[in-house]
Amino acid sequence: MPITIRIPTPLQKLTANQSEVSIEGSDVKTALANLEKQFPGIHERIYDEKGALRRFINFYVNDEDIRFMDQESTSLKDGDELSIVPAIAGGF
Amino acid sequence: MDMMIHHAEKDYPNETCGMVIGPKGINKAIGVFPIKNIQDELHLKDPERYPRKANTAYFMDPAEVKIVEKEAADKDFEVKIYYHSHPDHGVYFSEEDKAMACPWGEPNDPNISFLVIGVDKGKTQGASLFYWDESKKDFAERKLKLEQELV
Repeated sequence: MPITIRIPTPLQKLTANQSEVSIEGSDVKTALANLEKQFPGIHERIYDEKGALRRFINFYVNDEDIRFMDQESTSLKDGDELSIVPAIAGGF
Repeated sequence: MDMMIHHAEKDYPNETCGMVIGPKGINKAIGVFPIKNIQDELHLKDPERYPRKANTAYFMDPAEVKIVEKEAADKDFEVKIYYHSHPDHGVYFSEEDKAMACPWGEPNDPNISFLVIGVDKGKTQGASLFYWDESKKDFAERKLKLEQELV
């Protein structure tokens, strides 16, 4: 079941300058793993050294933040859109 | 600036945050949108991943950010500035601010500047705009007068 992943501008150099890619995946984790298979290098940019999704990146499934859904286990269905968007955050 | 200063002082001792939008391609600010700082919510939900609280960090509510971005796009506007405050900590672009602004070594949108408002003991002391300098691959500072128009 293909879904669409929206890629932020700084990572598009890894996706042959594509802002959207079509990927198979029944949940967020699987889709991101398949994204890495197709475009190596993505994984280390969106996961931290402990293997968790980086805290400064927002992941949305059809506009819903997966932090408030089932996180990486959030299920996907045909035609869903997964967006990778850097958080706007900071601190001193 | 007045509205942002008001928000920063109202939210003291926590960090305030928000967005400024304006017409595409024109150096003009039209609207100021305060955004909910969800740092405390994230800290409560997962203190290991989000050790800081809202008095030392900000995290813009992604849902509100998307609403403002959509509203701006519908009017053919764009986001010009992300602003936040530093309660009792001066005006500077911290390492954490830079790391968050450049998650992969460069800004997600180099045309958007960051405005930092320093609030000491509840009163605004200064503000600076930090904009991306492509030639230096770093942010440069422009100090602002508190009474001045933004752009």
